[in-house]
Amino acid sequence: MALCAEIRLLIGAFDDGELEPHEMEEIAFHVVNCAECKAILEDYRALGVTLRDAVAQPVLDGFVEAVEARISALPRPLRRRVARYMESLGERLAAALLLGGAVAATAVLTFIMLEPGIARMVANAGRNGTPAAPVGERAAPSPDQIAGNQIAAGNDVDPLVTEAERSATDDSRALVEQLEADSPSVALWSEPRTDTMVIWVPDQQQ
Amino acid sequence: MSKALRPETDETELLERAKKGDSHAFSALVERYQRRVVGVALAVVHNQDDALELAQETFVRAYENLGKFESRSSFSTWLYRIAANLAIDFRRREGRHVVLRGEDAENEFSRLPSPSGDSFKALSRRELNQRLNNALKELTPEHRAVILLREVEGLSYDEISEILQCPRGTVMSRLHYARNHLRAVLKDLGGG
Repeated sequence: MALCAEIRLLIGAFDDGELEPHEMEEIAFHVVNCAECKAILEDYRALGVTLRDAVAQPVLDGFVEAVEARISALPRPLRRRVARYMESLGERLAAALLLGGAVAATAVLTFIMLEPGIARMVANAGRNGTPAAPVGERAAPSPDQIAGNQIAAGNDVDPLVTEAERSATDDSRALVEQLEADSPSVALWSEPRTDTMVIWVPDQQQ
Repeated sequence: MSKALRPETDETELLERAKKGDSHAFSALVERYQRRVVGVALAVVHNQDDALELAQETFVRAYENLGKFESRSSFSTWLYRIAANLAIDFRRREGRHVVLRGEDAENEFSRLPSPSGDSFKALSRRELNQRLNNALKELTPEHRAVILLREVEGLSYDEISEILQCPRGTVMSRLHYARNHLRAVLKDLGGG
């Protein structure tokens, strides 16, 4: 009987499978051979079934929505509001930076694409003293400009210029004058990068 | 607002998103654990309206304290513990239960009939349920919680121990007491 009293303290845990393996074995052996302890075990099992049946589960329709409503009605802590504001500020800043970057990239690309023409026009403007225009649309230079260019091209007496070079220059000047006489739209300018003189003559066949 | 959540979304991911203020993620967690949380509250207060109210309060408290949850225990155990604490406090405030202690409890045990094993069968299902619910109300919240968490919610002794914050041995002894009390009441009704 003393053994039964001890066993009965553990019958519930035995039924729940919550004992050590050796205890499980010991109680299983006892219950098989003891009608009273076996009846208690059966009562416990019946009690469990009855309890699950007796305790009605509440209907949970609308439970989640009710919780959401209560949460949305909570006063927002200052820390969370600041965090939310910083988050939205960060998003707006990121968008602004993205837009600015796109604009800057477009500007750089445009500059790169136009840069050769710009550089040439700026160089020409610097030499001619007038705003540059594209080569194909260039107006005929004035006589003063041509004279100035001629001076720049070799009218100054340079001690380092040989007689042969001076003769060649004179020949060139004569050629230019003839061309100018034939066609008033002849243009003349120097290219310092290649150290050459450019003579632009309109297409004679047109 | 966040994108729609897949039903199988991982709990860890849901928690992380909920901590960052994603209300959809938290709602998914509520959806996932609502039945169990209500069950835990019901195990203690034994009243459906109170249990539903306490379960809602449990989720609100959890939402407010999500930042403090550090994953030392599982999220579900943390939730159940909040629910159990709220329910036990509520029950103590309300003071609507009859506690059997000392001599009363001993007398209750002495009424245990000789076990026949089939005396429950003599009762109709309705009588059984009615009698059992009345017997549950006679238990202390702690005893009722333990037996309902075990028998109805199917929680292990370790889980019950963690939720109710009491030693495993206490869970075992409370279960033993509650089972014997309910068994005595049912046997008594059965006339065994």
